[in-house]
Amino acid sequence: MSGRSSFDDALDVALDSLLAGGAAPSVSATHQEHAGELAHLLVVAAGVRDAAAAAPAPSMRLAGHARAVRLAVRDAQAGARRRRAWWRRPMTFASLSLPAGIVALAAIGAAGAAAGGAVAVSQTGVASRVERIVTLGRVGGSDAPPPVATPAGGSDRSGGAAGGPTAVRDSNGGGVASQGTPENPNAPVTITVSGVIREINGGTFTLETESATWKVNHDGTTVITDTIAEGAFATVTGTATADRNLHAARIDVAGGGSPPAGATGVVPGAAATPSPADGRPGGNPGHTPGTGNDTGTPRAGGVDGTSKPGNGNGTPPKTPADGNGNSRSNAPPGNGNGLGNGNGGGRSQTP
Amino acid sequence: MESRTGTDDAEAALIERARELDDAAWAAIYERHAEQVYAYIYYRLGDQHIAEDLAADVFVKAVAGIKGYRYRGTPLLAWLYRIAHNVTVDHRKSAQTRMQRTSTDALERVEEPRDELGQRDQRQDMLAAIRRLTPDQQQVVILRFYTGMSNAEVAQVIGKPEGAVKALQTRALRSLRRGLEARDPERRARA
Repeated sequence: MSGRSSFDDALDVALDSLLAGGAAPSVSATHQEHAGELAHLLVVAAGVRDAAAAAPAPSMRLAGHARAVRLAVRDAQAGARRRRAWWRRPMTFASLSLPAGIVALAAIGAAGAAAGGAVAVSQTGVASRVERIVTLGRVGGSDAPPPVATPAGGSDRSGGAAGGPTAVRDSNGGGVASQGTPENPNAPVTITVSGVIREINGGTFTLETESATWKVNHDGTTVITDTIAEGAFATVTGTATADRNLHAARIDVAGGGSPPAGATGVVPGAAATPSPADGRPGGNPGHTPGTGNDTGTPRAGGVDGTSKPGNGNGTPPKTPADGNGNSRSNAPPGNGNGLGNGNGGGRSQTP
Repeated sequence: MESRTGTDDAEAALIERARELDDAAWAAIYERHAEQVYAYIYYRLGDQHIAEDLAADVFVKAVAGIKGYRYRGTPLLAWLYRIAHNVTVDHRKSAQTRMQRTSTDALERVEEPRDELGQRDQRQDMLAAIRRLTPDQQQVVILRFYTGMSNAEVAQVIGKPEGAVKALQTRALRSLRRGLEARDPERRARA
């Protein structure tokens, strides 16, 4: 083994000399113990060295391939840009377009919110915590804007501007609870519903809207602003289930059972009417309280989120300045579903 | 080797720019090393056009792999030779799969002239004999004799100890000797 290694070393030293320009015979002469075989191998090595001249010079083809390498570099650059996280990319006009679009949508949504709201659904998409905002259009002939639709507790989780949940329209009117969440259709949702109180029975009563009837439960934890009375107009915020049970967290009663002025009754029908400007009366004469101007065709559609005070009959729009409970906002202005439905939870109805 | 002429700092700076996918850096690398890589592949395959194409492939692969390359004092050319070795081996395998004889026999038929001056014939014989060595032996012989690398540098390129390089070198020369001696009677008979 050591002999072989020794020969390898001797040959390597001889090759160093050979490749440095030394002549093979003189090199082998310096390694007497391996002189015989070294001499033969160094002759071969000299032939190997000289054969290098047999390689043809590269053609222009090789220089032309520089373009392929250049393209490979460009591809790699493009790949690196794609992989780079968006927050590390250089700011460009194009990169601003998406955020700008979102801001614009938010602004439009806020403007829509000023017009009052119809039905909206706010979905966080996170776990089962979903908030929906439902405004069942109250009509009437008064061109009063629809009642306020607020997220539970007036929180701003229903959307707002940046980063809030996306608000979507809910054309289901009173059937909000049946929609559930994307994750779980039967999961409870927090809603606000306005209607007329019926069938009071201890801790429960029926809240009658045009398109639906809700069974409302309340208990000691429920905030009740006034006496719950038959025929009174109320806005109830609470947790709804698919079978239209509504566990109230807050009940705003338009005092003493008097329907709110300007609010011409519960207009669930309007809530089920997608088009707010179709000229159909959304009011329910049977529940038309107040001013009796229910000849008006409210544009308060309830569902479309575009609800503007309608004046299809020529009645000038009125502002619900009566301070009725229904139009009260539970949430601070401006926290509506800014992202697009335009109903804004009826923030404009804050008296 | 040209990389020996530059300072380590210059080499490191060039590699750093190459890692950043700088166009000019890659143009410089190609201009500096393309012919060396081409020659290496030519010695191993014996086909000029294939060698030119594969040399470009080596640089394309180098672009793709430069992010994983770290400069530790070894010339960039050593890394390129390592890629070239892999490219050459892959090419041979695929050529064998396609049953296309791009290997030595075919090349000998095409390129080996009928001993115009004798010298050229001997050189082609030598190259043909080199191509019959094992891939590792070919690599050692070409790097040692044609690129001017020292044993230590060859060891870095092929990823083996210097002792192993010396042993490969000895076995390669012995194989060449046997091969050339076996061909001598054929050549004499042909002449």
